[in-house]
Amino acid sequence: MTALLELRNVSRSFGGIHAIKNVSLTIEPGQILGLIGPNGAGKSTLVNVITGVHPASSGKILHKGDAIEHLKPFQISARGIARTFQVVQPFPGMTVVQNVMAGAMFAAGISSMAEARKVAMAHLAFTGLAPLAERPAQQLTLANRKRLELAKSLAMDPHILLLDEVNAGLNTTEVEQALDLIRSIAARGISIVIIEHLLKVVTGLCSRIIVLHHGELIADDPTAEVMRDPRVIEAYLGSRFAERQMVRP
Amino acid sequence: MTRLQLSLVLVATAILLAMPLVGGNYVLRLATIMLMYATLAMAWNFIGGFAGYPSFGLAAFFGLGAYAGGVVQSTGVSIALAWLAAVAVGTLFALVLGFILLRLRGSAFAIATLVVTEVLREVTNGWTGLTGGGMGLNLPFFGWSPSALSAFFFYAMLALTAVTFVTTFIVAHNRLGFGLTCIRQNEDAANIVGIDTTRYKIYAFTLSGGFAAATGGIYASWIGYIEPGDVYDVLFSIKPIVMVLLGGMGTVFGPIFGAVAFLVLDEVVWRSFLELNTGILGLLIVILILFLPAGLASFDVRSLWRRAVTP
Repeated sequence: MTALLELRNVSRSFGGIHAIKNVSLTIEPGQILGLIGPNGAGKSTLVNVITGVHPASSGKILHKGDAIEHLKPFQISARGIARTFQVVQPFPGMTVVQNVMAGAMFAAGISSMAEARKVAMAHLAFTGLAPLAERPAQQLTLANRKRLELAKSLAMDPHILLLDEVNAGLNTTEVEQALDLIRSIAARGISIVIIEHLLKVVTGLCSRIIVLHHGELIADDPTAEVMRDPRVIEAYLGSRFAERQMVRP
Repeated sequence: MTRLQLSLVLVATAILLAMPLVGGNYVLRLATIMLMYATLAMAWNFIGGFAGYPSFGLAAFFGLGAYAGGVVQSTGVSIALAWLAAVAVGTLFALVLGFILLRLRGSAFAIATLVVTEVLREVTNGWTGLTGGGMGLNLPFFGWSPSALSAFFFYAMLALTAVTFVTTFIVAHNRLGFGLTCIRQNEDAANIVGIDTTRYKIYAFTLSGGFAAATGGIYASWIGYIEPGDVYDVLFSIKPIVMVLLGGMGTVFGPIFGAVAFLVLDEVVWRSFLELNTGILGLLIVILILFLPAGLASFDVRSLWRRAVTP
């Protein structure tokens, strides 16, 4: 069976810096996959490479068996791969519902504006933004802007959703609400890749975790194993801490 | 369209259609100029207003259309054919140019479009065999009476204005206009939500170039004599921008209101301050744009009234 999304030896360099080195992985339908790693490990670059924002320097990316590494971002979103940005990217002067309509009209290809509006309102209701539908996007709080990113991505009718730090900058209550939302998105059968700094979030959501360090994939295992992996602990907490952890058990 | 907008359009159309019956040649001439600038402002609005790409090259298309139409008309074919040639040449040139220039953003794009006008002017100047060079190009005279001529060109310009307006209206209420607005707001995000940004920008640029060239074509036949310094005048690039800024970027009615407001203001200032008129006009426009960032469209008459009547 072909995987939903498969990366084969994907690399991306910026000048002399190898942001991503030889990363291979697969994403299966209906999975919530955690992507973790220290700052600068290449997590966002990996998302940018998959979505065509920064095309891969080498390697292959297969979506349902088709090579997509040469496609432009708009073509990739039309194939059902949606993403959110670490720094939210709304259309600031447009209303909340218009922001979401954009996803429905272009990536999902709904040509009637009235129909797109209906779809957008449904996604706003799902993400809890319906009361703010007619507000300009720039007036939203950060937590609501993150929700707007989610609603917009969902309107694109994706089967893979890449979430780049959707919880960054949110307080504890807001994180809890965001997690509930992500769980209900996964329940619709959408595969999710979630980039996260908060380990609590990742361990709570994901059955499988991949770890990037200096652009290389150092682990791709079930969550429990990754949390015990000495290389992961070393990457996160330094070698001395890792040694102590190893001696104790 | 709301009922108010629809009735505005109907009233304006009725007045304009009746104009040659009531107005003299002078009034018709003013009205034709007004229609011409309204069309140019709407043409700029496609790329500058909807897509937010600051093109300073409208004069390039205006001049190109004028010369394409003029050269074709000089061969003795019918005037309709000459205008069609103007549209075809302008559209094609915009298509090719857009393909190259729309990879640039912001000020780089603005400067590139500015340079295109200069290049075309120099080419026209140098290509004496075809364009008459700096001597200009005389177009065949119709042999009609002055009043018949002014009525004819008034209606021709009015028809073009109407077509441009209808196109603007369709674009604004369609995927194209929506996508262009997304591009103006945030081009990276537009690409990510699935908009083929390059293609959309090329559409906008082509519409802009095509309509500007059509205006140029009619202008050339109307004036009867064109020269490079006249039709490639940078003011044909700048004035439409000011008009759209004044009326409201990326709106349907803004460019028309802006054009009328600008020309009325121009006329009033010119009458009152003969020597300092351009300076004062410039100052007034700067003030207007500073305080009304969304143009005259940001005037909310009802809320002004409410504020005026509440103690």
